Order: sequence, then C-alpha cells, then structure tokens
Amino acid sequence: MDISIINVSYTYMKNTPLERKALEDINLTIPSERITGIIGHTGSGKSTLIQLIGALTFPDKGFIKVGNTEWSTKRSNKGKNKNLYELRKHIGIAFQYPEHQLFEETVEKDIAFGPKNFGFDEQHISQLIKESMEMVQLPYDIFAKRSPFELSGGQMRRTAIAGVLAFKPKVLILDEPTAGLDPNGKKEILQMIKNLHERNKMTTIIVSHSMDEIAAIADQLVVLNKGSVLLQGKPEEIFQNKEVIQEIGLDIPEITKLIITLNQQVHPPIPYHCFSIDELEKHLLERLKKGKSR
Amino acid sequence: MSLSNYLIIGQYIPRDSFIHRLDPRSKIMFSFLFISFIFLADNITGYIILLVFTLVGMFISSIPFSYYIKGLIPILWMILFTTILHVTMTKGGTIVIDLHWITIYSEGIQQALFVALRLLLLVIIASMLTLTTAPIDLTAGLERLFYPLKRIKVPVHELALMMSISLRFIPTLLEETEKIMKAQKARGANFESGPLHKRLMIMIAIIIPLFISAFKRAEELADAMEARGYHGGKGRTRLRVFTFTWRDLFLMLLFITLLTLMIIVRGN
Repeated sequence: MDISIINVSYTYMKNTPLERKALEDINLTIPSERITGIIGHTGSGKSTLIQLIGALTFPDKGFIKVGNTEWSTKRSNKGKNKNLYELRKHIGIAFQYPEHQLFEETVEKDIAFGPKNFGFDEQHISQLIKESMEMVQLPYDIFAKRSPFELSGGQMRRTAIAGVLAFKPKVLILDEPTAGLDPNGKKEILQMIKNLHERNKMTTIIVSHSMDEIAAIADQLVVLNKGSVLLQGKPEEIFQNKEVIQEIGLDIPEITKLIITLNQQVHPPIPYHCFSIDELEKHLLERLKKGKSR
Repeated sequence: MSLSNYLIIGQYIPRDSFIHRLDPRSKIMFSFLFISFIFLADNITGYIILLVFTLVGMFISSIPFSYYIKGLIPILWMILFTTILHVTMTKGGTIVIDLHWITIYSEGIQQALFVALRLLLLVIIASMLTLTTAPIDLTAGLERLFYPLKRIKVPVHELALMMSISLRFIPTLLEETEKIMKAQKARGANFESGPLHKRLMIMIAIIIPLFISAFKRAEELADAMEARGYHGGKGRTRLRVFTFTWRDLFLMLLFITLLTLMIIVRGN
C-alpha cells in the first residue's frame, strides 16, 4: 500500500504550556513494497509521524492516505472511525519498547492478541502464530509456552514483532527496532528485517537515529529535523549532503566516510551505494581483477 | 486529547510571581486556614470578601485562568447537583417561584449559592497551591510542618518522600499509559466499542505492562538512590533552605486582616 502524507502538521500537547510543534507541513510519499528509513534525533517528530500513519493520532492539519483510505483531522473524521479500525488491520506497528505491549502469560498467547482482536478464527490463529514465530526466528517448540517476561531483550523484541506480523499487515512499521540491543543482537534483527522483506514484500518503515544501521537495508531515506523533512531520497543520494547531515548532528555511515576518503585517491571513484564491508570488498576485488587483466 | 491533559492535581506551572516566591510552608498553612475561613463565612459580605481575595490571588499568580477552570471541571457535577438539591429542598424566606410541582424559596437560592461558592473557592485555592508550588517544595514544606510529629514516632520523612516520589511519577505513568494504549491499539485493541468481556481483556493488556514497568522503575530508583548514598532521613541536610521573607510577613498580616474582617462581617 502506498502511503502519502500531504501538508501534515501536528502539535504535541496542544493548548498547554508544554505545547510543541512536533511536525510542520510534512509532505512525503512512501512507496509500496519498499523499505523506507526515517532518521532523526529524539524530538524530530519520527514517532509522531509513525503514529499518524498508523491512524493512532490525528493530524491538526493536512491529509494522510494509506492505500485507498484517506483521513484528516479528528473533527473531520467523526463517525468514520470504523474505517480506521479496519485500516489498522493492514498496518502493523512494533513500538520501541516491547515491554509496552507484552502482557500475556505465554509468548504464544501474546502473539494471538492481535489476530484475535482483528477477528481471525481460532484455527487460523494457531497457524499464524507458528508462521510469525518462524519469521522472527523464535523456534515454536522452545518459546511458545514461555513467559514473555523471562526472555532476553532481543527475544522480547522478536516476540513483539511476531505479535504484529501475526495479523498479516501490508505495512510494517518498526520504531527503533535495535534500541537497547548489543551489536550482535542489532545485526541479527536487521538481517531478520531484510529477510522478512525479501519474503513478504511488505511496505516497511524503519525508524532509527543511526545512519549506519539503516543505510544498508533501506531503499529510501527520509531525514527529519525539528518536525520538517530535511532530505529525502536514495541513501547514496542523501549522503552526498554530508555537511547538511552533520550540521544537524547526525552523521553519514562510517563506510561512506571511508569511500569518500578513498575516492580522493582513486579513479574512477567507488560508487557510494556500498553500505557493507562485504559489498565494498566485492567491488574492490572486481576492480583489482580488471586492473590486472588490463 | 491525551490523558495528561485531563489531570490538574499535582501539576506545577513554573512562573515568577509573588505567590510562586512565597515560602511553601506559609502557602500551605495559609491555604488550610483560608479553607477554614470559607466555613466561617455565613453571609453574602463574607463570601464577597473571600471571592475578591481569591480572584486577586488568581490574578497575581500569573497562571492562565483556563488552568483553574480545568481544575474545576471534575467537581462541576457535584456543584450542579448540590445547587439543584439546595434550590429545591430548602424551605424558608419568601417564595420566589411557585409552580404546582415545585416551590423555590429565596433561602434555597441563597443556600445553593453559598454552597456552590464554597466548593468553588475550595478547589481554586487548592489548585492555586499546587499550581504555584513545585511538588518537591510542597512535600518539603509539609515535612517541615509535620516535623514535631516525629516525637510520637510518625515516620514524617518517609511519608514525605513517598509523597514526592508519587507526585513525581504521576506524569511519567500517564505518559507510559498512553504509549501502552497506542501499542495495543495498533494490535487491534478497541477501547471504544465491543462487548464487556473483551474490553476487560483489553484493560488487562494495559494494566499488566504498566505494573511491570512501574515495579521495574521503582527498583531502579531505589538502586539509584542507594548508589548516591541515601540512607533515610537521619542526619540529612537540605539543598533548599526555606527562609521567611517580607512576602511571608505580608501574607501573615493579610491573614490577620482577613480573619478580623471575617469575624466582623459574621452575622451574630
């Protein structure tokens, strides 16, 4: 499902002294079946943006369109909330803290919460649980009957993601999926997201504040700063704007920095779309071969 | 509308007004005494004096009136209910309206007005105290005021600490509740409609994560406090030392004037 965000503004804690503009005049299109990365600092509006896409909050101004459903402010949506409830079935959001959604006695029961709410039948649900646990690489036999509260951080996150995958959303939104994990856990989760995407072709949105992580798997990046879209495009295009990115206190991936340094010495330049050591290695090896055969 | 918008108790609005700068101890004492004054008033002059005083207070507190009004919303129904009760039930004085099924006496109207005013003033003064005093100052002030009770083995320090911690975490817990609600809503939890047993189930899906995180947070807080050498109230000194200033003197004088006035205007 394509997602369009048109002229959207949102104010946090409206009409209180803590009032703050979270988003201002945002225009975005998030293409179907792609991985889009949303990057920004704490307070840049990323969380608000995904809540708006998930129809969990309403904008103060502007329109949001997901698939064929379009909605605007809360007032204008009066009486049509049923549509949005239907829409949520197709949008799976896994929030940053898995602790915020795990509540059942067992992993299995917790994953069943979503499908049950959306009215899947019992038999189908048990099959969905198995499928989604397999997708997040939690073996059913080991984890199904365990309490979600005795799992490790990474396992909890997988359970939370499985709980969202279980109702077969067409859009998958992951808020800081690697937060609080160790480097290995991070790598595993990112690889899992990549595999999931290759398999299901869900429209995937990943929110993060780390360029390194996201660059390697995203097809498109959106850089948010203070509630506005600063940059938008393919990762290798975005990182051409090194100064702009560094000015707002974010950084380009380490590997891109290396390529930039190398390119000052080598001709023709190495392309910027290498975002992993392996890719860079492969590219350099090919060059080496060509050079020798010449 | 988010949950935190509803809550006014314990909400502190930092400003730099005369009222904000008063010693919390005098503010607390004055508020309680003022509330007893409200019950001292028995005629319209007395209420007008109190009302004028409260309005002046609201004005110089430099807090938007909308805050006081928000604080009043929860008790609006109570005010309405008692007003209606007094208007229809009290007999005495002259008959103002005489319909076949209902008779309204002048005294009923007067009583209703007084009771409504009483509740109104009570809530406004109480919200003025919490709106202008940081929770930490409030509890420190209370602790100081109740200090003598230590003699009779009341754990004053611990109670004050418990109070300040709870006040501190009300907004945090509210924020967390909102986040949890959103996370479950994203998984299809429907708070607005559906059969009762389903909605109960959804309540559980909110309460359990909330409790777990509250326990976790409590443990972390205890560790953090101990790590910084907290060992109870014994021998503890304060960062903020309360001092009695001309402002507090002024408040005391005001208090005496108000008391005298109230006694003078009190009928018989």
